[in-house]
Amino acid sequence: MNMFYMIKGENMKKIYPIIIFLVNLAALYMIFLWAPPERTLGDSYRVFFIHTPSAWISYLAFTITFVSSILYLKTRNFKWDLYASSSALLGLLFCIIAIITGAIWAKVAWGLYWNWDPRQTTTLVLMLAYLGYVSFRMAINDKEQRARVSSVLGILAFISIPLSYLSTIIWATIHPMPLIPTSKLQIGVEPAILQTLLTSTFAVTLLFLWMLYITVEMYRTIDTVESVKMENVK
Amino acid sequence: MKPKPQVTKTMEDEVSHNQITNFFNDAWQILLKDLRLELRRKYEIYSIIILALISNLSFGFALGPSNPNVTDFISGMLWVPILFIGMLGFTTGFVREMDRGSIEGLRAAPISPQAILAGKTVYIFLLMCGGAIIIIPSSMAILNYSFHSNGFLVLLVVALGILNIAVIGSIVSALAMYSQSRALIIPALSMPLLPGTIIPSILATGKLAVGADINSILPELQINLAFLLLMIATLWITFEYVLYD
Repeated sequence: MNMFYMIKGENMKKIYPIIIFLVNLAALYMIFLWAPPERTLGDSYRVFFIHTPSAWISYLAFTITFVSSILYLKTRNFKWDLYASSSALLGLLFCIIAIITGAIWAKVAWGLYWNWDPRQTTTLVLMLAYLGYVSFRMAINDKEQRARVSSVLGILAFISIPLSYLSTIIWATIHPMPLIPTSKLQIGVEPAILQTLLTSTFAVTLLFLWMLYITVEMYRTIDTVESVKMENVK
Repeated sequence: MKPKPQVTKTMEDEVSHNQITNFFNDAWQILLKDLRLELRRKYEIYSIIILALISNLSFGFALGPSNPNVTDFISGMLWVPILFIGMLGFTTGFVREMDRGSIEGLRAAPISPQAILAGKTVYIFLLMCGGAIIIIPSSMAILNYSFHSNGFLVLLVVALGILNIAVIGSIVSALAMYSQSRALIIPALSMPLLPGTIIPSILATGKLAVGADINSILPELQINLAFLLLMIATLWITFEYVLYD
């Protein structure tokens, strides 16, 4: 089964980027012009609309890496290794964006870029885990060995995610709690802010799926070129 | 009528008992092999002792004699050298087997991959415990402090933290044996996996240094235990993919 069955076909390949562009344009309009300023933080809180979707995408990407790693070990189909490695690379990129935007927000809201807050720290650990994953893949030449061993690492690194998420609950934190209400005591957010957040999350998710598709195709092409080269050498 | 289900049950129990016994025997043999090798290479043991004493002396020089704030820093000062001793163990785990070519012997041996991993883990655990036995009392003597909590709690926190590090170390060593730059990749792989156990261990040790009871360190112990069980369960399922092609 192809994960990108929606964007298969030449026409869809042309239409999909236009849809992503329009949705992202709408999200940017909502972020910078439509959403009202926040009562205490003013306009600076708008970085939150980039920070939260980036953090969500990094979790999604690492989950894809985790699932693809399991599927690779089960089926030994290299397609899953391509998904795992591409998703980890993009997840790393979005994780870095989440950390940087989070630090900018922290400076405005809490006065320091880095507060050693458990969520901040464990997200950094998460980033390091996948940086290790990406570096590790680069250090193994044999394709089959690289796919097999890094699949195990993809599963192990995923353990860092629940640790990162639960850190705000287990240890005392200054990080805001999830926006989706979990109890009657949780304070709600303004509808315009919530709508902007949901739109920006949707826009960034579409962008991520498109980037994942391109990255998988890029690695597939590199693999094909390398195997042709090897055959020519033989 | 023959009591058929009972007989089957007994046979199943026996097979299961034999499997468990074999698992422990195999793990024990792997551990003995590694310990024998370690004892032959005495310079590594001396390196551990020197590392432990130098780290304590360095912290002693930095803080000065009888520093009243020593308990604020003690958890970090204890765990940093323990972790570095662990790093020595990581490189001598599976990486050494790969370098010597003996990994093929391990793969061909009629031993379950989990037993090999268990043997290697216990080896790293013992190596680190040996380091901790030198580091903790010598730091107490050099830096003039004592733990105000129950000694059993200190042992529990240190042993659980070391066991977690040993589990991570053995899998990192197994993964790193396939890479080109083995010595460089080990810290890159282990450092991201270690905070899950190092952070709660450091927090718990810091609390124990100022006289905390078991209730105060319960969250850290729970996290460490959960992390350990999660790692063991994951490795139990995936380790054979690491060892065999």
